[in-house]
Amino acid sequence: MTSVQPYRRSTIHSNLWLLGLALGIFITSCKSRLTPTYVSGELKQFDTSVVLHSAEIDAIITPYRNELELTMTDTVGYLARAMVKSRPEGLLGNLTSKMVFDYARTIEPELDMVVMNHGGLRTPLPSGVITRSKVFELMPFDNELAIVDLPIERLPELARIIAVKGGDPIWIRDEGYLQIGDSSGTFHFPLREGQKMIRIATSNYLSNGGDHYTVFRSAPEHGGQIRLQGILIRDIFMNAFINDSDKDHPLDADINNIIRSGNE
Amino acid sequence: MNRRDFIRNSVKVGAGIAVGGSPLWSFGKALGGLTILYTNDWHSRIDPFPMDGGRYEGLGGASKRAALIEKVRNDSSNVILLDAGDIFQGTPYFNYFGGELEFKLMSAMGYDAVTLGNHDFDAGLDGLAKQLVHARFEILTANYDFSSTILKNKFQPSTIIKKGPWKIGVLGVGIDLQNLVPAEHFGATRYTDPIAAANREADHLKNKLKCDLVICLSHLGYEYRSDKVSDVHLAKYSENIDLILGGHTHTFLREPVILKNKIGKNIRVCQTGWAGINLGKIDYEAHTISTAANPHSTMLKIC
Repeated sequence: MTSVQPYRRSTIHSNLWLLGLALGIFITSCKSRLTPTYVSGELKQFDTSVVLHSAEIDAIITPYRNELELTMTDTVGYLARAMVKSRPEGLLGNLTSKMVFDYARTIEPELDMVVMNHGGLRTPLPSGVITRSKVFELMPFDNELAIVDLPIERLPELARIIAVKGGDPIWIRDEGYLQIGDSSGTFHFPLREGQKMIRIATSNYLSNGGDHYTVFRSAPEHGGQIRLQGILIRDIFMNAFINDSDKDHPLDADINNIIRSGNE
Repeated sequence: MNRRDFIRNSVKVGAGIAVGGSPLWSFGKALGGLTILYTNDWHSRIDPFPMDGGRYEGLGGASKRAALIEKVRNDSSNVILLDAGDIFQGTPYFNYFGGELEFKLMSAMGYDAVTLGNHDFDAGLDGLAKQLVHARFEILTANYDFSSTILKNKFQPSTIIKKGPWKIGVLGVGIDLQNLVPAEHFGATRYTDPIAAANREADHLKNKLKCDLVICLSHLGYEYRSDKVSDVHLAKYSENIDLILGGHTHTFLREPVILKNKIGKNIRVCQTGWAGINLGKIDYEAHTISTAANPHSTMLKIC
């Protein structure tokens, strides 16, 4: 008996120890994990009635702003009314594609059309004073003017690209227009006698195939050509405001039904 | 998981406790909340829109945004700040200074992580590389392979942010650059499937690294008329992402859109529009469920 007692105490002790060890392993194997519960989501628009600013951020911006204000606050021209871009056709697209058309025709008298892209116009324009900064915001990209000679048989492909996008800013000579459906389109304008190439002014971004205008990039493979003109699209806009507008004669644009939706 | 789901789940867990009877299970302990602030497509809009009669006159501005962020930080305990790309391009600040000011401001505001938008390539890989010295935040991209460019090893696919009791996994995915960005600007950068990349990273973050919440910063765009990959696609084909903070399409989502992922769980998609007009804000509450790391704990799936 006496020899058994210590053994039993030892066994109980050992069992308790093992139980504690097992419990410890179990506890340490428990990993606390959060359950995220969605509460709310909102957009916080800055309240312009409250003067809210950060002195730290202002201090960082100020030297950069001062440098820009040396040139960017200049008035370069005037606009008759506020303009936004829209599809298939909008005031801003018509204003700017006509600017490009008027410039490009001075170097390419047989220009047929201008094709720009909706995504390239980056901000609406206000009515009244247009500053240099505003033109930069409208066209921040350093895109150059490009002239593409597109074989006439490739015109349906160009129309298709514009149709699929639901319209892009264009301008066509002689009050021509583009009729678009969901995935095809037809250009309507009078061809010159024996005309085999369509002469198009665009940006080098599009002529390189940007924004899905692969039809321009592949023009040389079909006998056409691409010629860069060395002038920025932004400078064409800038010069149009500087040369063609003043306070009493602001620039303006209309909806001209250049792009017509629906089946013919 | 919305509140109703959570209550429903809590009932299930409660039943499990009654059956299992383990005193080690704890449930429903309220912890510190989490506030996620986010922006996208702020496009170098350093100053508020001018008071010129335009649609957005007086709105936006980095200084106002910073003050608002600071106010939220003062009011909340655990705040993270994220951006979904297109930081660059849009005002003369970028034309003249190449993105230096944008990165300096985001660093000063305390951004935790961002992903890359297509316009962040507008100064080319050299231009982006040059500005990295000003970025005191993580730039995350899981589906652009920069290994053959000067940006090799400069970015991570994902990161973990710890705030209070929270362990948050954040990853980034970007849009196909072909035909969108001039080829000379992205050079040898290789675009890979964003959904596969996002799922790979999210699985790692959620299941291996045990993050409480997985956020995807996406510059894919919210949705398209075509079948082009978008945040809606990403949401539907994901499994371990809780929240997509998107960009590119300049979509104003007044509140998160709730979609179902491929296993039928809720996933939220957000986008703030553009130009820093808005600051997105999402609040989560937390509870704990102690989960025994053994295969018998089927209730783990409820979490």
